[in-house]
Amino acid sequence: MVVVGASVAGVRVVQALRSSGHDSPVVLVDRENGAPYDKPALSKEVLTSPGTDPSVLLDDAGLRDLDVDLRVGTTITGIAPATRQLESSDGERIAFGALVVATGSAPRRIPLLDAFTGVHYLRTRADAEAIRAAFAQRPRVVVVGGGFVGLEVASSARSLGLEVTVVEAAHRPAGRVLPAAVADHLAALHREHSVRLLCGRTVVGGLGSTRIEGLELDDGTRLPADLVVVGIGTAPVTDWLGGGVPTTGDGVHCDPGLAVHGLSRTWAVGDVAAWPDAETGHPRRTEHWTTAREQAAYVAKVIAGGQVSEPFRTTGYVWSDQHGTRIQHVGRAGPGTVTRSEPTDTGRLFVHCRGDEVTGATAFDAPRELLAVRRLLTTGNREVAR
Amino acid sequence: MSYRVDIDETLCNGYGNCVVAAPEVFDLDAESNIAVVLPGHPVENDGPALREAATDCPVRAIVLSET
Repeated sequence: MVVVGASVAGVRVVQALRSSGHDSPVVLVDRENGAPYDKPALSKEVLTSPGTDPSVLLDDAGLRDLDVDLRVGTTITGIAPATRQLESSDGERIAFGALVVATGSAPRRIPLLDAFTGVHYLRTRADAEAIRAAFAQRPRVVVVGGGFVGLEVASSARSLGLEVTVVEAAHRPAGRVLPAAVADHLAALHREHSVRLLCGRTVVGGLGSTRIEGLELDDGTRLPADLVVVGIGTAPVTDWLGGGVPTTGDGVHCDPGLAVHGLSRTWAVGDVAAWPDAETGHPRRTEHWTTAREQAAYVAKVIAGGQVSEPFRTTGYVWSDQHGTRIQHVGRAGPGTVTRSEPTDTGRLFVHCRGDEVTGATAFDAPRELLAVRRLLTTGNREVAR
Repeated sequence: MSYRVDIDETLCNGYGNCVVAAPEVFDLDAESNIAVVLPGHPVENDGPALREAATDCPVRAIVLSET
């Protein structure tokens, strides 16, 4: 078996396979060098604490235990479906039986800013280290994009006492995941912590010659900046799959059991997978740590030959830490759901409902209350699954 | 395999993944919101659920030692 991508999803597939007793040879390939590492800390502790590294997903002892052939610094450039071989950047061909696609996603770029230095994207350990080094120069920071990653970068920069502005194209931050009432609460949290939040604004150009000195916005505002961090979402990394496998800008097309259309014994997990949601039937792609792990465990079970008659399901649990506040979200909210807000002993819980049915919740410093909803949704799912 | 379970309270942030992975073993403390091991646990056959919970922790706050 070959797993392409050694981030949390890919590594977890191998771990889950081995713990189920599956002992056939496994090759795990990753384009980055060094030991596979976990990404959540990259926008938080790694940015704020010099000397802090992201946690390692698989150290030497772990590698030996798993008996996996890890090939780091190896980019898969193509695939020959007929002969079931992968082509790597160093010209090698890697034969595969079962294949797990876990290549993740890459930051979407702003081409207008490509000519400038001082413009950063955050995906890898190297990206985080570069931003951390830039933070040490005490820059005026502008974050483009008010999603979770951008907001975490803003929070990290504020914790270092840096001046921070966030430019978000939508009317509210994190609006892709959070309903309006919750997004407003989050915006207020950032304003309380002196983040300047400019919503409904887009970047139309960069100021400066080679080094970025500022951004020009669509309303004519010229925003001074010494450091720009762009977090406007990601695109799944699928180019290496070529034309043999149906992909779109929104991921590798999978069936409800995460099996990739067009290639036998091939599955996708993590940011790259687009599957029809078991409840709604609509294509879904997530970039969540917990969902990636759930997908990995599900696929490992299928590969190991377990009885998996149910489609993949996830509660879509996400967390974020911003300005010392623990933010957690589970389930869904959006058109058709109503959100009510209640104070808790330690924070605030937003509950999302469709009629009498609870569809999700978002918590600010209310982990126990969030957990109760998460358990409810998990049990609900199980009941549906039976 | 039986384990001793230690929770690093400086790392635990109440994510709750351990409670979802091993609901019979873990809960979040009502006051601190930190993960706690339920009374009477761990028991011998908690092993697989404990291993699951430990790897599911985003900050690796659960330390298992074989006993």
